[in-house]
Amino acid sequence: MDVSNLALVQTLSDQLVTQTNNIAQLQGQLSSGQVLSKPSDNPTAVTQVLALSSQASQLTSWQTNSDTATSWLGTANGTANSVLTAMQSAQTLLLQAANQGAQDPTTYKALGSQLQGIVSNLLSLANTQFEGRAIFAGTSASPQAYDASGTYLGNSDVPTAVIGPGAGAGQTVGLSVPGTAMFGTGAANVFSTLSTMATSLLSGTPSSATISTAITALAANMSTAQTASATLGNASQAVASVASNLTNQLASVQSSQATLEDVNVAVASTQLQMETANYQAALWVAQQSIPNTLMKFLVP
Amino acid sequence: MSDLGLSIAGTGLAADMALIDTASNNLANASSAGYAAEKVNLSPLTAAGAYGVGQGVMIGSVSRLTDAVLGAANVSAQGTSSSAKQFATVMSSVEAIFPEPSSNGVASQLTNLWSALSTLASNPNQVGAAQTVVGAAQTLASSLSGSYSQLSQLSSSLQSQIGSGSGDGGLLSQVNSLLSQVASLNAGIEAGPAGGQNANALSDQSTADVNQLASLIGVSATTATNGTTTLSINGVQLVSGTVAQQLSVSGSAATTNLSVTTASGVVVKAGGQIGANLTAVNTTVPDYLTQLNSVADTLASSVNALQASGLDSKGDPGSSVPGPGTGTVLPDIFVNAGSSSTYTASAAGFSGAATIAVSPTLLTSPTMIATASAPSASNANVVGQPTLDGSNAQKMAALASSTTGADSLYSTLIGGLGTQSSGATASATMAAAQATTASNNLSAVSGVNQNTQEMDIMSAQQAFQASSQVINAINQSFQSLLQAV
Repeated sequence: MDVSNLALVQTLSDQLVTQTNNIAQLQGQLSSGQVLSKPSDNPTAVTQVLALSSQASQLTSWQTNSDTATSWLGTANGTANSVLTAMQSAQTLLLQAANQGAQDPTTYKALGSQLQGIVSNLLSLANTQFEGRAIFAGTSASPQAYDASGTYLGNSDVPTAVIGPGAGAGQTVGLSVPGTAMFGTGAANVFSTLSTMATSLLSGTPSSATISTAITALAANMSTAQTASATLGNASQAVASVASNLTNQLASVQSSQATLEDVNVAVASTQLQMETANYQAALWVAQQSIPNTLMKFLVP
Repeated sequence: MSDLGLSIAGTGLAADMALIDTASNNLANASSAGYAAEKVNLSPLTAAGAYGVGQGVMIGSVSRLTDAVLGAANVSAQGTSSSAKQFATVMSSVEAIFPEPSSNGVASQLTNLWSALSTLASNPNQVGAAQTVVGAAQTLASSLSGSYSQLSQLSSSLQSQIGSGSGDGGLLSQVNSLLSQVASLNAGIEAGPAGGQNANALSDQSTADVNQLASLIGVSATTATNGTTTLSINGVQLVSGTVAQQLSVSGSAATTNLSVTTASGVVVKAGGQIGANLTAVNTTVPDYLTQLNSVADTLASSVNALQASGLDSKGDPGSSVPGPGTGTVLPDIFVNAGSSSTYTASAAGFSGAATIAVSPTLLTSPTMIATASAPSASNANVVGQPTLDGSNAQKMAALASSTTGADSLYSTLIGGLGTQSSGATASATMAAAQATTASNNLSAVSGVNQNTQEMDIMSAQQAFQASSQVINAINQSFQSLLQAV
């Protein structure tokens, strides 16, 4: 078969173009560090990368939410401990008032004013805020959970955060408990119990029946608060375990993504060297073969 | 035999000159498009009388070296290759519209929206979080409508590349002028030397035109015994003898029925570059437009449905929350640009992706996002009362993992696009290799090999010198004879 010079040149130049393209592609990969620059580079890997990065973004969101939950629950737990301490002080005062029998009005009044101090301390604890929100006001927009008279301004819903996958919006965790779950409901709430008692003590002549009723009521309030505190503690623990899981999952998703997306420098640079060598060989062939015709040898 | 053989030597000189001229012409046209190497056909002049010697050599003809089968195979391979190459180019233009995987593609803008919603769910009272959501939604909406308009522009530029009407400066007008040119070359070839034309040069020109036609519109060519070329596409004759059809464009990209037809309205199944453009305009681009529409529709309907069924942090209800009937009602998050508060899904003749935008009301008051769930037995929300419930925003953020959501549809689009584009590139590479083979095969017959031509020149040169020597010998004999007299 006769090869025309035109065909020879065409074949050589096609080959050079292909090799230049290969070299350019490898150089692009090495300089960007990415194997995938467009969907056709590897359609399967690209859809996997899209799914993985969406997953990574969700995991990051859940992580952010679990951080928020940790902060909320930290504040709520701390407050719950102070609330329990304050209630214990109130209990001690009430037992003092009950145990010593009939006392002189001054002692009762002193106990009453101490009790009033505890009530206002409890109220300020009940109105604890986190990032501008009253943590015991449920999902209500009210900046305060309780007004000065101890009336609940919030609602009975629990603010939540999504910290993982699950049905509906995902796995949710309560960020706090409504004030009613911590301090009791309506007239039976701790503020009402203690304020009534304080008024009675301040009168200087509380009846022993009133005192014992208050002691019983306060015991119920304390048990409510302890339950709420336990709920908060459990939620904290749940968040902590989910958070460490999220960190592991995110690391594994990111590493799968990197495996698909990032260039393997060793492989790519070896390929680049090989392609460059091929390119040089093709150039050498072109240089040797194109100018060599019979004429070169016949005409001196 | 009156001239002592001078005339015989003379025919030799003339034949050698013809050989040298032809080789020289071959060398000169080694790179000319459509050129087939030429060969001088020599035959001996017969002797006069029963015992006479021959009267020298006669130049019979100068013929083109070509092969009808290889030529036709080459034309068809060039058409296929040109079509595949153009389609691969179109696909890479489509790919350029979807920059994936990257941090500025629609996929990452979707995840940005979901994570902004997740942040808002935890902080419904923060205006900044709401603004981030609105910003992310706006970026996403403008990416979707931007991609849609880029795809539409691609389609209309492919259409204008073909041309409108009978070509109008586009590729089709080139086709039409080449078709008439082939027909008029046929007239010259038919007439042949009798018509005072060098038929070989006309055939070369015709071959070059046919090759160009093959890559433009994918014709198939047959050469008749008289040298004229007949062109057709899939059975529709475009050039027969001296008659050429004129093609024109009908239909439109908008109705996905763009086609090339003959004057009598017969649809031509165009190949080549024009065929690739027609496929792209009628099938490929509309397919991606439809997919983009369904991404936009799904996004808007899923987000708007949740927006309609919740309360914002001020307690204002979404449009489907039963309420007092007075007061503010939340706008849809996504709307069609130009419409103030609703989104209409794509339908025949209407594109959602082209017009998707964020509600202007929301742009001015970003807090009007329904972060809270509608009042129900399981919550304490009340229409008209401020609430910091974030559960509805949590549901919006959870759309991220919906298997039928916008993310999943978009990922399918990208996967399909990648597969189609890499397939198109692979076919283009394969078709180009086949075209090179076909062209090399033809070139083995028709191409000019410099070495062979140079050998031809040398042997002709030697023969010329030999004939000259004959003349010299005759001359000397004649001189001797004159001196002897």
